[in-house]
Amino acid sequence: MQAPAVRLEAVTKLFDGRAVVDEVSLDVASREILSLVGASGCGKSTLLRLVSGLERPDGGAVSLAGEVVAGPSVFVEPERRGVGFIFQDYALFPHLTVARNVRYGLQGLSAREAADVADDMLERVGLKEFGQRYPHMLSGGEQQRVALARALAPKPRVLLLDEPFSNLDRRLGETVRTRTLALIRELGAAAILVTHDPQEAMASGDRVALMRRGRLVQIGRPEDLYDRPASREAADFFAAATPVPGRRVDGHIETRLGRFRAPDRVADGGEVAVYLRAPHVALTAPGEGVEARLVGMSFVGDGYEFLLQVDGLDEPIRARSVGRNDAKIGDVLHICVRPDDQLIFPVGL
Amino acid sequence: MTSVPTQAHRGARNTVRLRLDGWTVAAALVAALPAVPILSLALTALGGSFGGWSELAAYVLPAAIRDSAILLAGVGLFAAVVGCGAAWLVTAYDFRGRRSLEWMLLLPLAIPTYVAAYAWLDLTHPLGPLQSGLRALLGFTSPRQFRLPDIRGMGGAILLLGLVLYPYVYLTVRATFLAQSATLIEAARTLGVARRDVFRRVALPLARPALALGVSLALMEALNDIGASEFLGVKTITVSVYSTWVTRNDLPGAAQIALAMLLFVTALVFVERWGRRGQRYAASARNARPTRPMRLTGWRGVAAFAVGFTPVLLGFLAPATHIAVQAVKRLDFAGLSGSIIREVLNTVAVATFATVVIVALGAVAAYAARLRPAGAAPLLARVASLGYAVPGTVVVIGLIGPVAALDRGFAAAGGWLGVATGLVMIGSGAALILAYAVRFLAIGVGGAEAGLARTPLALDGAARTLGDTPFAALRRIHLPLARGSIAAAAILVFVDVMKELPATLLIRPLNFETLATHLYAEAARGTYEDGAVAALIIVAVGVLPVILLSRIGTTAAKS
Repeated sequence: MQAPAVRLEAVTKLFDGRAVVDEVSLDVASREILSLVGASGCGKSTLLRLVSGLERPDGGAVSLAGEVVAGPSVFVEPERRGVGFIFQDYALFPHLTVARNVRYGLQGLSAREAADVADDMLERVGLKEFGQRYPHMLSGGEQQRVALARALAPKPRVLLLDEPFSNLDRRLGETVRTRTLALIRELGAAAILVTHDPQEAMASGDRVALMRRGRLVQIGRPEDLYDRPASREAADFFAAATPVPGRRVDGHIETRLGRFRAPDRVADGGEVAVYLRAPHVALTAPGEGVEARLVGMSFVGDGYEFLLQVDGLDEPIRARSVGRNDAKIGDVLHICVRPDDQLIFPVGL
Repeated sequence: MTSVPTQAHRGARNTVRLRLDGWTVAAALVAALPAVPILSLALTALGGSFGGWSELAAYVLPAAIRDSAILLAGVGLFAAVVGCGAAWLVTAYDFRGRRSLEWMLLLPLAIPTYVAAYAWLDLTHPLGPLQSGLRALLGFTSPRQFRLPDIRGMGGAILLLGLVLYPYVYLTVRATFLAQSATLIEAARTLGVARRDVFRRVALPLARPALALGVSLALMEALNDIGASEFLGVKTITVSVYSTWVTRNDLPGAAQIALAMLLFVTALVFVERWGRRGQRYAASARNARPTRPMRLTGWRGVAAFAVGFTPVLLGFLAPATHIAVQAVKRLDFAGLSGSIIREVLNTVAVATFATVVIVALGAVAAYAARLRPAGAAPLLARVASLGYAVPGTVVVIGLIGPVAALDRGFAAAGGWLGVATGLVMIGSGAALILAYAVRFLAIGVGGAEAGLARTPLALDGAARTLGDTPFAALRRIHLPLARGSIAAAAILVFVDVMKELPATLLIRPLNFETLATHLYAEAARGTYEDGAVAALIIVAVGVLPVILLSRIGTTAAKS
């Protein structure tokens, strides 16, 4: 079996005695794109720097394609690792032209070959005519594409991307992301994409790894994390879900919104959090279900998304209207909920 | 190569080893430059015969310390008053000629203290142009009928040093006045502060850190001065070190006085820190609307210009013009003498060599601190900058021990090989370059740090992941990007080395004359042959960094 492109084994990094990356182990297969997601300060960018060799781990080991590059008695400098890195603000060299930036990592080649590779890469990112310009003359999206061309020009085994789309506005970001991922796949590099945006993580990665406070919370296919979050943290993060407090009594879960059958993993008498998503909430006729006051509504194309405040709950829950709706803010609606077993978690353990 | 199973790593920490990497070692070597002479000085002083200590203490030290204290207090006060006043004049008021005055007020920086003393002594000589002119004007025919008080003495020294050192205060304080937000002053006005009280109650308290910094820089220069004090007959502690060593040939004694001087400097640094205590607020007014200066027209404008122009006239124009006139006379009379040409070449050679060494070492120390922010390197960069506060005489006394030891080593090695080496370090000028490096490394480190600080750290990461070693990244990314800052530092170092007198006097090779030592020798003998030519060259080159500083000042004000 082929060695994974990247393997982390109990990698730990301390800053001032505090573990910002805490015994993280994971594999990235060759040609795989892994999204690494988490709130800011969770250690995801540090993990990327550990893989690239820009930081030294304080514990554990990093291997690239089966070769240990950081471990108890090994440290391979970043320039000898063959990884590409795209920085959040692109880090283009301001004193070099676009073409010179892209050629920067091609030192082993003759000038002629390097120029050919650079031309080819610029053409692939659609910036063929931009070679003689300087970075400050380009727009944000164009700078991002130069950074991509520069990182991919030396044909790295692994490409590391640190929030590469976060400085672009949303619409442009999505376009650039699609093209970037297509190019990475075309060139056959493995990639780790760091982002704080769960939507972007799930849209981009073959697999998604969620980090929290330096630790790996869950790793899996996007649908696994969405459908079966392993913990409340994962559910909180990939949410579009509102936690509702409840309690297990006699094999049922009691909440302000009604009684449901309890999943087996929750013991009687235990506090639980029931995560509700919009599809779990149905509007019903007056007299049925629970009363809820409409506190917000936003048009989402084929209907409205409602924010509904139920007495006794801290946060409003979400629901979808069926078709067009003439409800107004302040109206009292009636709802009936049917939660997903996978989204019920014990509290306080 | 196979990877180690996960379980083997669980809970394991990679052992913390003392990683002696090349950059930290290099930074440590750079930091040793100022550290070694300071330690050596302490050893020499403590190792000297303490029989000499009491004699020194009784006859030399008390008077020297008293004179130095009076001189520093006077110069500090003078520089603070003139520097702050001038800074307030050009920032709070607008009048005809203000823009020119802004940079002209920096010009006295171009005149080293010993050149100012040399020029003014000649200018105010009873038979010199000033007194002769006055007598002609007043109808007297002989110096016996009318003469101005002699500028030699403590009062003259304070005045002269203050006139060329106030720009340090002007420079730092003006920058703060420019950055002060109009809203702060407007807030004070609405709280009942009259316009005439704004300076005293708002602007000056806000500028206290800059004032402390400017005064301490001026005082470091004053303490370093050897020529002016000596010509003017003030026996400062610096002059005592020099005469104890050179005249009385008592190195341990000189080291003991030098150690006392080092305590002076340390006290100065602490006073400066104290002057800045709790000061972070000056920077809080960033991005604020600047204060609009008050427009002065008519005779008020003329008067404002005249007041502001006085320090320029006395600190720069009068001595510089006198030197220029004397130099032209000399050149007309004798042409460019061979010795002057030789001295110019000597000066340019040592200054160029020292500049290259200092800028390179500074870049190494600053870059090591950037590469290893968590290790010892940042501290080492600070240690490397220590020498700036240490007067040249003290540096040399500290260096002489290690340098002599090296020369003994060379001599022993030479003897073993059957070659007579002589004094390799001192004879070759290597010791002189070392002394300059100790004293001016702070400029090299500071220039490189300023240049590096403007480059985002991500650029280092990008270069490294694209295959650059740290050295290649320095060469391909940082040197091109930090070019401006490093060039500015190089100019400052070059000019400072060219002007530097005490260290050059003490540790240069035998019969090796620079422009500064030539001027010193003539002034000390009371002869005025080629001295004016040497002085003119020094001042002309010294104007370079003033132009540089005034440009930095205006760009900072624009941004």
